[in-house]
Amino acid sequence: MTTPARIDAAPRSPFQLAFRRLLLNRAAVAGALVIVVMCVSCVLLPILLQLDPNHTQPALRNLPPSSRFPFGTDSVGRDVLARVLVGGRASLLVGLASTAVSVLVGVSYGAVAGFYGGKVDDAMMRFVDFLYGLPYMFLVILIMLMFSETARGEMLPVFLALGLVQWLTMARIVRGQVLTLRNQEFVQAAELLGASDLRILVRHVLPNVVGVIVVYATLMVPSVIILESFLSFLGLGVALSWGQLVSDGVAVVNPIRSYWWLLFWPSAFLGLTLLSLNFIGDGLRDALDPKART
Amino acid sequence: MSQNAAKDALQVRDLSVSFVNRDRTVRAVEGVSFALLPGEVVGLVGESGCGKSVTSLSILGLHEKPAGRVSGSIRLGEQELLGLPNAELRRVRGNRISMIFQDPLTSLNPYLRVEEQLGEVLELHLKMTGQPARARMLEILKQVGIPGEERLRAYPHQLSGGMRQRICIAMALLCNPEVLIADEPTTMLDVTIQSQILDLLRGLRRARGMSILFITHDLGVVAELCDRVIVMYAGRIVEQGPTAELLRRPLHPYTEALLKSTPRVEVKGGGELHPIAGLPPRLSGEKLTECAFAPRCTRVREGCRGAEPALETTPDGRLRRCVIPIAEMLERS
Repeated sequence: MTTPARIDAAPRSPFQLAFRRLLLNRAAVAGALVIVVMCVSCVLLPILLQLDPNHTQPALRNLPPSSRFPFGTDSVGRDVLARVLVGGRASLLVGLASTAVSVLVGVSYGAVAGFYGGKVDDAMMRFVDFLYGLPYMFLVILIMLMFSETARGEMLPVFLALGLVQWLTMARIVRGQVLTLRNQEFVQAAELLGASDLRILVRHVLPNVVGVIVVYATLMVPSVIILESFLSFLGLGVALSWGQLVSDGVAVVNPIRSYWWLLFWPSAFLGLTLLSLNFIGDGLRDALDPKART
Repeated sequence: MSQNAAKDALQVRDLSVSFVNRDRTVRAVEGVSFALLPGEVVGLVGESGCGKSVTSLSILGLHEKPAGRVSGSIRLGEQELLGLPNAELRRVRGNRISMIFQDPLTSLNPYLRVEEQLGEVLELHLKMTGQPARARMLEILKQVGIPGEERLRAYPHQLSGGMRQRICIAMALLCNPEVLIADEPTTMLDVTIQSQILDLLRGLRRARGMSILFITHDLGVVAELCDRVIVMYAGRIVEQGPTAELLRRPLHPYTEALLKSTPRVEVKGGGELHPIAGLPPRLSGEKLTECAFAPRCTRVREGCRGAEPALETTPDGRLRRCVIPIAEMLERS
């Protein structure tokens, strides 16, 4: 006991250890790279190449991919590359922002319910059950329609509508985690040492749930992007997003002449993004698994 | 006990804890009274489910809420703890009265460095941060036998079980509590570490004059550490007395049975073991119509039925809850 044993020069926190495990996961790293490249190109390329997604050139309608228009042009002569990149901004932003909204609402709601338990928990979770019971598309469309007159095609209502629908599962997951953590001895110990409820929740309980939240949030981003695409498909989403582009592309598919590039590029970008996000989510889940200490 | 109430470090009087569910009531602790003198180590022993832990948790107001109902009186020095508003109770906990838990693996937050966990206590109670806090942490770590600054920066997963329990003890001692409640702090540790931790507690008690309520089901540990022993069964105190006498001459058949079911070092092969047949009773709300131990007692007789025996003081100042004549208990054991 008296001989001081050697200890790592730099003690690593559980998060650092998880990050190291994540870096060993090739699929997750590749996914992360794809997402970074995707974000950077969607944000920067249209500016650098001076691409205008709404510039119409009636003389250059429905051109297949060529060196001048790598992704072709659409039925009114707009550059599909520009539209896919700018549409990607909207899709990615919706994915992130709506997830942020739902994490914010879901985590605080679930944490409070799980921490206080008993009647508080009962009441709060029955409300969640009630919302679960409503068809979520109906809710989304309702929220969207409330904004439709003032802000059609804008992003904020979409963030809110999707975020406010997605938080339910997050709340349930966090609540379950907090409920089990609540009875862990270190939480009791913190309580015993005189820490206030808020302090215990923020400092002792939530850091132990972060892993689950991160994983679930990463997996929520693609599902939100899909939802937005679906809304766009119905004509309720953001004016220019991947979903909207896919919808436009589907509209011109016909047996006589296929303008395949109108459907292919936005679908490919959408698919690649969703796949990468899922890889990251899976990688994070494995890396943050508390039973896998290395 | 009550004559020098003012001098008691901790005084528990007529403590009852019951848990009310939708369909049934469990009376986990029933009319428990005891006191701890300053610097005294008192063992609280009994089988699992006999109310030891509930007693200790309710002293700190940490019993399950809102299902748990506590009545009676719990005085820490001059201050009544029961019914104290939460904000004031928080000022007492971790400061004047502290607790260490059974499982050192789960009683530290895996995401905080040792210095952060220790620092939290100092910040909360003494408003101490920065360099003075660090100095205090190093001092307390040295007292619990963990030298070296690098341990402060370690995370719990980098420390062994015994080391973590030392950290827990350090955390409990930071504010110089008057009373320490130790809930089976050695059960999860191996025997060599166990004796180190016991040595540590013994030393700390001597150095600080701190009272310790030591909860355990290990009579060996009790014999080593405690001045006095309280034996609980079915949420009640069934016997209480100075350690040596109680272990040598138990006056309650339950204590006797506990002793007979414990292996002994001085007898070859550990001696013959006699497990106690059956299980502790389920504690429903009804009043007992016989001694709670009667169904499992080997000395049970007519007098045990009818009503629950009262807790009586024996001529030599011990307490017991049994109708069997003392002479008979002494003679046969």
